[in-house]
Amino acid sequence: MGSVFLPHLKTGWHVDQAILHDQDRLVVIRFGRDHDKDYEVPDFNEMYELYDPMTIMFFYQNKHILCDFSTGDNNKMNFVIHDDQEMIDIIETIFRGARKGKGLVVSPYDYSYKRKK
Amino acid sequence: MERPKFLDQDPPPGYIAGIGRGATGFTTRSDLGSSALSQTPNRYLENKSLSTDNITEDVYEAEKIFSNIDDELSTRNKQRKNRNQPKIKSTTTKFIDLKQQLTAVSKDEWLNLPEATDMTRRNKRLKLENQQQRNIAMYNPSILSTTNLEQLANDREKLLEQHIDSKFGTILENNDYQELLKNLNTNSNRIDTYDVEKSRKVLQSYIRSDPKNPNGWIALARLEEKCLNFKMAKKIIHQGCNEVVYDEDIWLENIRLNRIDDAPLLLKCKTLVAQALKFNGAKSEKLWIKAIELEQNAGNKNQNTITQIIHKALQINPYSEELWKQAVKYEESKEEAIKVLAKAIEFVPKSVDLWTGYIKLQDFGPQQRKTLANAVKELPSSKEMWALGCQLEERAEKPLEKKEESVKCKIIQILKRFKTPHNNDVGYCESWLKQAEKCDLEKYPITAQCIIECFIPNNFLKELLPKINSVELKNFAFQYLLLKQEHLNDPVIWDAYIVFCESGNDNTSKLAYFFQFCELTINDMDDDISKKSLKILTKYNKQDETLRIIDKKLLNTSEYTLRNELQIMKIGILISLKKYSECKRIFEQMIAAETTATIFLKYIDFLIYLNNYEKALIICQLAMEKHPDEEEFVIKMGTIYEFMSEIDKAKQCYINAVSSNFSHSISLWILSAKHEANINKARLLYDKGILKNTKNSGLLMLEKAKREFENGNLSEYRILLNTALKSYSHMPEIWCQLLRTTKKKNEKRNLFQQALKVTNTNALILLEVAINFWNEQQFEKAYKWADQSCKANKKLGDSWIWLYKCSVKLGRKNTEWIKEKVNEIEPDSGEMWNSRRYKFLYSLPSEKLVSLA
Repeated sequence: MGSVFLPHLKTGWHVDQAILHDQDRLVVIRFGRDHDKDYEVPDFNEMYELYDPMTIMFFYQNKHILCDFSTGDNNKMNFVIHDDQEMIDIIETIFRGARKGKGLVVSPYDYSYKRKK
Repeated sequence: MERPKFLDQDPPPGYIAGIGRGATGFTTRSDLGSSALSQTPNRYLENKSLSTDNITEDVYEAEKIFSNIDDELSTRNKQRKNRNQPKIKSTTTKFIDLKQQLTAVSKDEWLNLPEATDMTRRNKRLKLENQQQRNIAMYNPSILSTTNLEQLANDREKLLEQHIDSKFGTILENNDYQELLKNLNTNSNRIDTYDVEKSRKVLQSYIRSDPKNPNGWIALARLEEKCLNFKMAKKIIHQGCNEVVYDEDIWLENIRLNRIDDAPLLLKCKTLVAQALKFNGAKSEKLWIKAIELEQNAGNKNQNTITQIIHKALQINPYSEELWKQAVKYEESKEEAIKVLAKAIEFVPKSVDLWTGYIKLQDFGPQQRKTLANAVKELPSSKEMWALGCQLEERAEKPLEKKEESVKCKIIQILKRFKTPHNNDVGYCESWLKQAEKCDLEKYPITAQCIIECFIPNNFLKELLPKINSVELKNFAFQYLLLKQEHLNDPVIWDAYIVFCESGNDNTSKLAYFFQFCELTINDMDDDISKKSLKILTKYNKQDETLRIIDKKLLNTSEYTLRNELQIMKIGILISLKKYSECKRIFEQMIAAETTATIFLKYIDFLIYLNNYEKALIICQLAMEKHPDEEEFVIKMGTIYEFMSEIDKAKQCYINAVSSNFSHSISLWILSAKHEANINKARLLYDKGILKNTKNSGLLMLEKAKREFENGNLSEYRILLNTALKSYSHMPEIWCQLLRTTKKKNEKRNLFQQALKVTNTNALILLEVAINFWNEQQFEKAYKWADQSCKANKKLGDSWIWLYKCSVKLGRKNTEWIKEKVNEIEPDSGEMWNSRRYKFLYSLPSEKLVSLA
């Protein structure tokens, strides 16, 4: 199950529509399910190389925005952040970068160490 | 937020995810992710198949133990750290209150937040990058070799030519021609054949595309003329005239070209004009005027032909103002001219020039007034007419020899009838000002003044002042402004007035006005301005007048300080007139009243100047009784004794003062020690002085060191100077002494640098550098440094002396500016400058400068 407040996207088509729907907001898509290792919508597994229990990706105006978390993977965020303010900061930074037309944004926090732990 | 509709819809059948929005996956394949475990490398699997279970268990156990140890260690360190340090809040919790305020940030502000970037050594990095790029561009041979610049230019030229031929047939604008012509004109100095060829082609294509446009023809003809191809030019313009017969400009151009080599072709010109007039006669007044001009140039003595032409022209063009003017010009007798003008006004009633001419030609009398009235009726808002009316009035009053005031009143009354359109802006006032100046030029000063009084409000006049050219009028305007209550004490206007009075080569008349004005207003001026203006008066050697004005002001001033200042000014003038007894009288008067120490000092100086030492001593004692705290008087007394060559008494006087109530006075300590001939006693005095003034004994130490130096006690001297420098490193005097006694060149240079740095480029040090260069015979450098020193401290007389010395040595012709500058600044400090103080007490600073240099 997804979040209570956030809509649940049932199929790949819904995911695509969600990405296309908003023109002035950042689209944050979380692939994966809490209780299952398999993705609920397996359509993107190959395309987006989804093999973690949970992956978050960012889109702005149908453009995939990369973010440098110092993890080596700038395409997506496949780790869990335990501080909600951190998550808010990251989303804000990415949104601002995207608004300025950037394709790659540097995360305000460095996760290289945290992930190792 | 509204729930998007697509969430409740079904996907289309057979939809392939991602294709709908053109997604094809990542552009970079960055990692294998943590789940790469599932894709474990083959090598590991091989090992696994080979290994026994025991070994793996051992390995796992060992790993477990080690990781436990690791955990233990890390937690222990952490605990210790936590115990020692207070808990540091994480950044996210730390700024939580600030973050909450971010809701109020507007969209734009938010977007404009600066980006966090790498700022370390940013400038250096940018510079390096820039340099690298430039280097690449410079050395990259591919850029240079592949482009053939000449080829490129030729190609472009061809393209342009084609472009012009095809395009200008449709779009033709006068601006293009004018632009081209202008270019030709500006380049007239150097005619580049290449340019000419190009322009010729362009113009030819212009003409080809629109032969009925006269501008193209004219431009081409001018181009040929520029190249000195007169024949060609004439031919072209002739063609043009045949093409475009109904244009006056091209005909005028034709005539102009034909007249270049003058006389023999005049006849041809005449025929040309006749031809031109045949086509354009009805409308062109320019052609008619040209015809008249030609006729006159032909040396035709017979006026009749000209008048005939004019009459013919006027028959066709009766409303042309210009032609009427010509008619008047060529009319011989005054009566005839008046008649012509009367006629002209009937046709062109709105012409200011014609009316003016008409009125001016008429004899003075009632008839003239009538005409003026008519003119005003016709042109009620014309400033010229009103000004003319006033002029007539002024002229009428002049022979009656009435007083200026009454004439003024009358004129102002006339001007008051002028209905102001109530648009009181600067431009409007300026146009009136122009009228006023015109009147002033035509010798009607009263009218001019009245115009200023009536039409230009004070605040505008203030702005417009710099625009007035006429001297008298400007003077009047200044005085008029200053006489107004609100401006009398306006320093800005006064300054401007003074600058105006001093400007110009022949300013005697202006200064005379200034004196008169000062005398008139001196009692209403405030203190600063009266002092300033009196200074100007004294500057121009008008002693008698100035004395008169000062006396007038003194009568009306009861304020104490101002009175004193005025008295001193008066004494200054009297001294320059060598009226010493008068001065003495004034001094005595001032001393008899309750007075300040400065007056006493001035009086004593005056007495010393006159070599009247006994009297000076008496006054000195009197002053000391009245002002017992003033050390100056003690010094003065000592000086007087010195002048009387009673050194012992002088010394005694200093020592007494120092041992009683002047123990804090550095200069007295120095003086007393200086006059002590016995070195040991002098040392004792210096030490005592230093003990009494521990905080500011720099100068005393310096003097002591100097004394040791004079006595040849070099080691002692060094020690003293160094200790002085240690505690008073900011004092330039100590540095100077050190520099003067340093011999080695290298050491000196370092010391100079250090001294300049420590004393914040003090003028004294700069001067010391200059003197050093002077001693090394490098006068050019010395001059430069002395100049720097003058700039650093204008009041330092010594630097001016050295500057003067250097410029004389260098053979500079213009040394006057230095003298002028010195007179203006009046320097007051410097050892050399004050060395012969009493001799030059009342002479100009420039005289002092020359004799000291």
